[in-house]
Amino acid sequence: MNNANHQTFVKAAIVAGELHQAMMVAHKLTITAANAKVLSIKAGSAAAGFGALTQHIDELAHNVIDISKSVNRAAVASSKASSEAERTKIALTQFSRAKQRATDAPFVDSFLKAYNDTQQTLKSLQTDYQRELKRLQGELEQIAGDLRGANVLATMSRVEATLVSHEHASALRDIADNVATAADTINHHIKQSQLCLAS
Amino acid sequence: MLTREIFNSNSHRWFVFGRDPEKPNKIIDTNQYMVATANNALLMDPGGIELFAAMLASVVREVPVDQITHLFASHQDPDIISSLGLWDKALPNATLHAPWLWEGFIRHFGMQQISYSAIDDDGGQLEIDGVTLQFIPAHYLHASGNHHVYDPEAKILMSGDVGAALDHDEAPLEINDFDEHVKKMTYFHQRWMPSNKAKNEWIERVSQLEIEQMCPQHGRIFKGDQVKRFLDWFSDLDVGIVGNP
Ligand SMILES: [Fe+2]
Ligand SMILES: [Fe+2]
Repeated sequence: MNNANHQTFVKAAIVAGELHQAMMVAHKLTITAANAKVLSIKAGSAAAGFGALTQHIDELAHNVIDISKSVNRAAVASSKASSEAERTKIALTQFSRAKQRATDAPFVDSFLKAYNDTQQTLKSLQTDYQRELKRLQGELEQIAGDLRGANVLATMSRVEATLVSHEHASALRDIADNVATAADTINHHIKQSQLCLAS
Repeated sequence: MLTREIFNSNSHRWFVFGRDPEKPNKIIDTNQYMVATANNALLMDPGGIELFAAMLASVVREVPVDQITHLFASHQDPDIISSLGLWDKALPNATLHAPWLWEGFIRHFGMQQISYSAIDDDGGQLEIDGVTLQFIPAHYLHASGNHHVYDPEAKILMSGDVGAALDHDEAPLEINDFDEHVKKMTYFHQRWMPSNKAKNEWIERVSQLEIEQMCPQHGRIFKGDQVKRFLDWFSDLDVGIVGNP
């Protein structure tokens, strides 16, 4: 993906899209966690360790969903502020064009106030979206941190799966694989978001 | 951009702006009109985004920008009012008068500061510094909600897209040869005007008005006899036809 030339509002919208995808995967992960819980009960006492892990998987999925929502809000807010800033920039360009064309007009000074006000508006919009972008980056890092825990969870789940009877082991292994794949996918979307913002 | 004063009395002046030589190719040429009273001004069909800088520069040759307290949009078209989002940044205290039907649409051009004054289907009037201007219904000519502006003192009818001609960019503002001019109006009226019924009702309505100048948004200004000739020609014309240009 090449986002180097995108305006901030396009980047923020791309991030919102990536985060939406991540959230969908996290939703599926909550279902995986619920299934895992049922299976671990069926598998009996040997799966007690696995059962405890399902709780963590569920928490992780919910964390990703919560932060994704918040990142999404920040992305939408910064996209909105930066697209308004772009529109304001257009107004400023038009004002200065008018000024050039009207240097000898008797009332040319009469729109200077509007010109200055518009410049102020642009500044505050830029502050707004930069603040939201910072928040966005902070929260992306938070998700990335949580996901490092996901790989540990997947590995531990695989180990726990070896402890149960043959009958249940493969199902639990599948669940461990699901957790690992989900974590990778979410991670991919987070990385894409971070790359997009950094470009 | 060309500016011409087309009326001047003690109470007010009318201006037409148009034929901007810096207008990008492929956008239709438009006439913008302004009434300046003692302390205020009304800008009619202020035009598209592409024209905004030229318009602002032209307007401040005649009046300080804060005196533009009223805007009028005959209908919702981009060549009429897509500059609204930019005027909104230049005119903090203005009111836009436009058909009620289009409010939810015109607001898409962006208006945070300018307020919207909806014109009823029956028309209405606006008084600025003692000068009375009337909004004359022109629905379906061509937009489904559409008004023109009539000034009984100046005897001017600003007729929006009615009377429009597809002319070359440096065309003069006056009509020298009416028959020649008809050729430049026929396709426009047949194609853009959807309803013979609406057309005839409008002709009936404006025939009651005393009009010395009829000022369309594209093309040239009709003067004196030419107004009657236009109404007769329009009356005979079948509209709502796809045809070829
Ligand atoms: Fe139109
Ligand atoms: Fe038009």
